[in-house]
Amino acid sequence: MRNLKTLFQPRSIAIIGATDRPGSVGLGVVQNLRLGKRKLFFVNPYRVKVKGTKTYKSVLDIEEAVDLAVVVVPASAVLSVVEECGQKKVGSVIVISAGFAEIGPEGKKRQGKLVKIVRESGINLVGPNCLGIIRPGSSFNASFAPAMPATGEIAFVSQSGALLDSVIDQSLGKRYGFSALISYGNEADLGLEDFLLFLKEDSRTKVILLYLEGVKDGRRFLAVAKKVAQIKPIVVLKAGRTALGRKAVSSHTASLAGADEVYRAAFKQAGLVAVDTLQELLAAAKSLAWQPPLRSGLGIITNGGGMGVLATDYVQQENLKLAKLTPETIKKLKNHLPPMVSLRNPLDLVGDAPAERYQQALEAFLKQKSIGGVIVIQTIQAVTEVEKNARIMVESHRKFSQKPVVSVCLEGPLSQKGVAYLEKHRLPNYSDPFFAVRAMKALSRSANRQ
Amino acid sequence: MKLLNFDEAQKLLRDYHLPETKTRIFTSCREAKRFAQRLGFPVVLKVYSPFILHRTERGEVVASIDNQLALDQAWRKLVPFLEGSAQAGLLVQKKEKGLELVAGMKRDPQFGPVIMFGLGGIFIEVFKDISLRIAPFSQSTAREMIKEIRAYPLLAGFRGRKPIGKKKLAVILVQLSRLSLDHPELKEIDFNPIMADGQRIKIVDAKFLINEKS
Repeated sequence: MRNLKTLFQPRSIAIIGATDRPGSVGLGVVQNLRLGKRKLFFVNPYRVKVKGTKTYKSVLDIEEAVDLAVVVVPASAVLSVVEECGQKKVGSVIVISAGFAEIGPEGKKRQGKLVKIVRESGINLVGPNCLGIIRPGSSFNASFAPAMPATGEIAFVSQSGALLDSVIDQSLGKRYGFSALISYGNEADLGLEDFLLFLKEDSRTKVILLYLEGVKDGRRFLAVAKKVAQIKPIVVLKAGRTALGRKAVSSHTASLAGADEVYRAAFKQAGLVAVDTLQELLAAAKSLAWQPPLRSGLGIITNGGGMGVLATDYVQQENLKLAKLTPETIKKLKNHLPPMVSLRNPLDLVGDAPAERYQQALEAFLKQKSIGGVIVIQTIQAVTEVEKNARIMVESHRKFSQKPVVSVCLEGPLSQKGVAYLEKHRLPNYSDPFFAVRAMKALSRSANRQ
Repeated sequence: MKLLNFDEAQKLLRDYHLPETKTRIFTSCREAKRFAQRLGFPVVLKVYSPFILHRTERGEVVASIDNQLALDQAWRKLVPFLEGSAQAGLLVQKKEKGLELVAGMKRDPQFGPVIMFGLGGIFIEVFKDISLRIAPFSQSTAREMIKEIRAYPLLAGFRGRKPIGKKKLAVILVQLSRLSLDHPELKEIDFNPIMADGQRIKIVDAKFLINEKS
């Protein structure tokens, strides 16, 4: 594994191409990095000062050591500034600038030269053509992202920088946060696998989200992803699923095993959780970051029949098992629940269910050995005590913390506070039973982990 | 692309203990008939040429031959397809029965050899009921592949059918994955069909595609 300390924990950072020109990428990076407390150097031969701080003409003019350089100069100037970084013995370089392999043969040649420079000088290179790297937990934002996302346990690794931007925007004000956001661009030097290996060891990261369009070396990806997924769950969203140019082929196998099908097989083999939408990716992440794995059958508790039926449908669709209630559980429930409640799984507590009823049911369910986790559904009715229910769920879950509990509640003005309480205590809520079931599916996959 | 010639293909199958149904190649009708007699009718007669990738489309197979006379007729029908190619001939093989399955390999530019398993027959392209894994893999992964296809109940003894020997099937997939890794010159492989009748599982048609230059 590569040593990425100068990349993720740099003591000093040079921004090459720093500027205060409004609307520029250079200004974005300056503003983001200024939020942290690290030593910054601005390099720009065309400006005397940036943000009131004097600039250097070249990274070579800086007297102190530089751990990390963030490069935002035009592509044509990148090679010479990175060469200087080599002479300066800079540890890591993030090249945000575009204009490399992604633009065609000329860019490809330039990228080849860039790789040669960093390999000769032992620099870790991220990019080119990327958004950069963010570590919210240490206020480190070496990117031109629009905002600083909240701190949490989710690492997001993305082949697309722009997508990462949108994910950050969407996450603001939500209750989950990130341990790291990495946009890896063209992978000229450091690639997806290096970051996966880094995150495997990263104590702040509990779950890894991956957005992919393709990988550079499939066999290496498979080997590394398999190793990492044994330690931490990886959820993957792959774009480019529809085959545009599936060529005429000569065997059945080749015509049936399109590129996307092969990726799906690789994900399965590596033990990754594959999802189809961005919303699902983030939905699964919350549960994987906050809840333990699902090791046996599911229980469903609801106060409304319809939602229970929907959830049951999804459970079947996802090949999950609903646990059968044992006579012992039934006896317990009979003692505490009103007679109109039919004692089965899914358990419908009926519309007038107060918090106590939820509590009796949830604890009885969690106590049953063959129930590995519970989905608790609340439809908001006049008597539904969302906040009280939330407290009860958190409390009951504490007693059985080795089993996942996931909440379903269509979040609206009446339930907002309760849902906020749940998620503050790491009990994920979903507005749709579909996502709750998919989250449980992801949790059941992670049960195979050591 | 062209096919591996018959003898090379036979050797590969033998080397990897892949169970092919008894098949031999002939250019003489008299010898073909002698072999068919020994094998027992019904037999199948089909054209084999490294340059014919798809059979059946042009009628290069006579599927069910019950006696010597029918074999004579079939021979006369198929012999024009040989067209003087030195490596071509007509194959005589035992007619297998059971459930039609397929297995195969394609060399993916990213992941290398990818092994496919699925339900065979004429609807394979329609239903696409297949599972894939990247080579190499273990017996337990091969079993996962088998269980993954939608038609799995058919293999497991649906409505009183004989259950298919899953262990034998899994061995075929594992061996195919090894063979594919050991032989990078092979671009694609089709075992289509594999006939599975309870514990009797035989590869009826094995196609190994190589690049023209190799």
